[in-house]
Amino acid sequence: MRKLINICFILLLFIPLHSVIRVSNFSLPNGITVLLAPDDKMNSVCVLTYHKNGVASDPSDIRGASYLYQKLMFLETDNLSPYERIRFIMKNGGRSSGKVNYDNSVFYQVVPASDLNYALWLESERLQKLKLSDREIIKQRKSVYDRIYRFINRSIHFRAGEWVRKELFGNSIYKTPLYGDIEKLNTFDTGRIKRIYQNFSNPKNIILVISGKFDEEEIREKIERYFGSLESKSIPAKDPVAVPLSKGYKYENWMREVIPENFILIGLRAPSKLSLDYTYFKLLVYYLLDERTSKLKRIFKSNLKMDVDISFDFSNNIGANSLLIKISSKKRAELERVRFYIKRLFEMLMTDRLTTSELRTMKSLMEIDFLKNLTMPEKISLVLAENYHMSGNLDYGNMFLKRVRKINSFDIVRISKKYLRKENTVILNVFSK
Amino acid sequence: MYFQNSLRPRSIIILIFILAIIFPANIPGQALEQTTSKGLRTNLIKDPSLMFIHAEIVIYYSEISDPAVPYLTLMNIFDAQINNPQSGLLNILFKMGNDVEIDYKLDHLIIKINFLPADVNQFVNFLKSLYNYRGFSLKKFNYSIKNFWDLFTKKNEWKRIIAAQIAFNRLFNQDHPEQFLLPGKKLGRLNLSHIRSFHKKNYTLPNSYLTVQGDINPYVLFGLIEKAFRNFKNLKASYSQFRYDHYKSDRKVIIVDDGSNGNPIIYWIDPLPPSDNIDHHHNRIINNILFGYPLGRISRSASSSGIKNFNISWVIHHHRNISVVCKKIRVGYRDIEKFIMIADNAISKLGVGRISRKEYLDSYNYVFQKERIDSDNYEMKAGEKIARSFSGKKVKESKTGQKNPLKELSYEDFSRILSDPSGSYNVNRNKKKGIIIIFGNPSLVKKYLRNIKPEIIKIR
Repeated sequence: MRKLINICFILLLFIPLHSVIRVSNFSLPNGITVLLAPDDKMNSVCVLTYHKNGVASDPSDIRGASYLYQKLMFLETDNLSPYERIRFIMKNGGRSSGKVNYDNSVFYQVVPASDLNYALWLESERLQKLKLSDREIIKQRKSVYDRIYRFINRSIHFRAGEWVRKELFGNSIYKTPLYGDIEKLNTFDTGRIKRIYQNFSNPKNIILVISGKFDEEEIREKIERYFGSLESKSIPAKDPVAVPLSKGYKYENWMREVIPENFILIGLRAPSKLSLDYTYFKLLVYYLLDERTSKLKRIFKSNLKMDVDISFDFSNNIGANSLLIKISSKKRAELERVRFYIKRLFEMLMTDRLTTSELRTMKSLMEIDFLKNLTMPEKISLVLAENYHMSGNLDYGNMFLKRVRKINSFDIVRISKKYLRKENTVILNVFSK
Repeated sequence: MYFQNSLRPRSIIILIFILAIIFPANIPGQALEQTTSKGLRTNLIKDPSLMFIHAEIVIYYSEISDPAVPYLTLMNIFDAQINNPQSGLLNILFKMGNDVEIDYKLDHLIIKINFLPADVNQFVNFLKSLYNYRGFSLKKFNYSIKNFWDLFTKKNEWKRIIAAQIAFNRLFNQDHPEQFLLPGKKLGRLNLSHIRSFHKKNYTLPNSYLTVQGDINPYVLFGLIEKAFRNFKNLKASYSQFRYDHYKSDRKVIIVDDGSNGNPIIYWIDPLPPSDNIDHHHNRIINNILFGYPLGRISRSASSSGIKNFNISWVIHHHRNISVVCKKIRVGYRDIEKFIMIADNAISKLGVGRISRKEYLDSYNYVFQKERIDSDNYEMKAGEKIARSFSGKKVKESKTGQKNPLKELSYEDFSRILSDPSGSYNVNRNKKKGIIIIFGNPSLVKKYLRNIKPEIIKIR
């Protein structure tokens, strides 16, 4: 019997870890959800605050006001001077950033493991003691306005991109740019902008993720100490839902006197992150556009030796997405050919299956990119928080890998039929006269 | 009774062995640092937590007679636009996911590849195809010559590569100023045999260093590599070397006319001692005190002098027996001269007011902590091994038993470095150092320069 126990013990040693990311969770009494992803091999730790609110949570008449918080969050608090938080992190070799999106907002700092206490304190300052003066808000509002106005005036690419995006998103909330309606931005009331801070500091809207090197036992008490006193002062943000986008083909030409190059923008409505189609569509994006494997690049640059540049932008929202493909060239005739070949390629994808080798390459690349992300604590934290926000699931790593490994060529035909068809497309040609 | 008999110690050992083969995931990390019988130095590290495999191959060049040849060779091997239909080597890479990045350096190249554990055999095939490459052809070569600049400038870092070439040219070969410069008109003189012979002479196993980390069995991988190269000839290593103690340090300001009209970019390049020299780390701290952004002395002075919208980043490149720190500075045309003067002023002040212990400790803390944070990155880990490989030495434990050389620095030694007349930031001679290379519209740059007299290089 003793030998049997020994064998069982040895067997346990060899069982591989089941979870790609080891993660546990708990909630504070005030409603903050905490996710812990410890990794003793790391030297750093990341404190990431994921807010379930973003621009989509703003009242419709001041939509875009949350975007101002991308900078406002780094200003003065009761105990810190403006940007002192960033200076502290940089002084210690760390990195810090923040981003406000439509469906969420994310602020993080990666610091040496020994500075975890400071990082937690800095986050708690931002969430509880931010000083919002009218002067700073107006300054920030003007800075965003000036920057966007400059883009709109100077860049035909920016204007074209915004137009296509607006057409793709129809009447959904994603139609308004992240920064809001530029014509109304300067009229946003400072008092109402200040009130949005309550959404950010509402504990029910917060998922706090700690990843990297830390002591799992000690951290609970520290989190309770720094974040336990936060109170709800606003209605929690709604759970994310997939937004159905209206279909409709749109085609437009813009003729301009002087432009540096001719270009075509092809916009496609893409699945929401909540949809199962999302992973399949991502594979299609890898296949068509990823710099390392791009089919379009192979056709235009390698096979046809055409003088064109290809770039793309995928929106990466939770509720609804868009894919913008931009092809530019000095020669307009080249772009006419490009449009023809892209149409042919899309039609082919709707009927013909990818080869086994092509499919394998795309799946490998998706897997490699995903695993590469898991080596950075801020990326791990973001993946965990976003997935928890969307599905309440903690085992995202395994779920994603399983999903990718299961993709077959029939799935890609199905997805192509659904998303590459004409009714799902908006095309804008920008040519010089 | 039968059950008991079957559990004899020998059976248990066999069982453990079988299980270890089937479920190797939880076996602690192993590392193998070994040279193959054909001279390829390898550093293979088992790290199952990575779940994929990251490999870096460094190939040191033995000679650089014409600087265009290494790039042409690389283009002919790796560029998908030239290799159409896809070559065998690119086909292997494509099967592995094609997550490949090539880092061009003056005297060596680094190929970085990420792939999944299931593709280990493909990786070994790739290595074999690379060192035994037979895919050069006249058609491909002619295409690469015809489209050289379009293909070269496709790479994000092409300006940095040109800047490094100019800097090395000025630091080491002032008597032969053309030696390391990418040629414009001279390309026509080259023919296919140049790249064939370059490949044959330089892409050799003894001139290479391979580091692999991830979900691998180092012993199995080493065996596969050994087997793949068993029919290769035994060759001797031969490296070209730039020595830190041989460089000429006079200040040069060069405007590079690349035909573009974009915002200017300044590359400020200073030589440093090689990474296995303790002075290298002192110099990193001085560099951070001066060029740190936004907290360094120069950044603060520039801000208070009214220079707006500038940005400084820097990176250290390692070569055999020398490192260089390459600062990339973005500043408007009007402020270029002002910025350079502020920087020179800050460097010269190092000797007058010295550096206080507090400022030293702050900078030391930044460098030390950043290195700790960066060490979580798998590419940084590989980069560290490659930097060590330049010295050809194995990693030694220091006197104090600490591996990290930063832990051996002292404030007293640091003051000594500041007084070293040969150092990049020495303060005893009133002689400006550093090679400054400005990319931008030459007439606009010159319009705002009053005291600085630059030379202009046209590269196309």
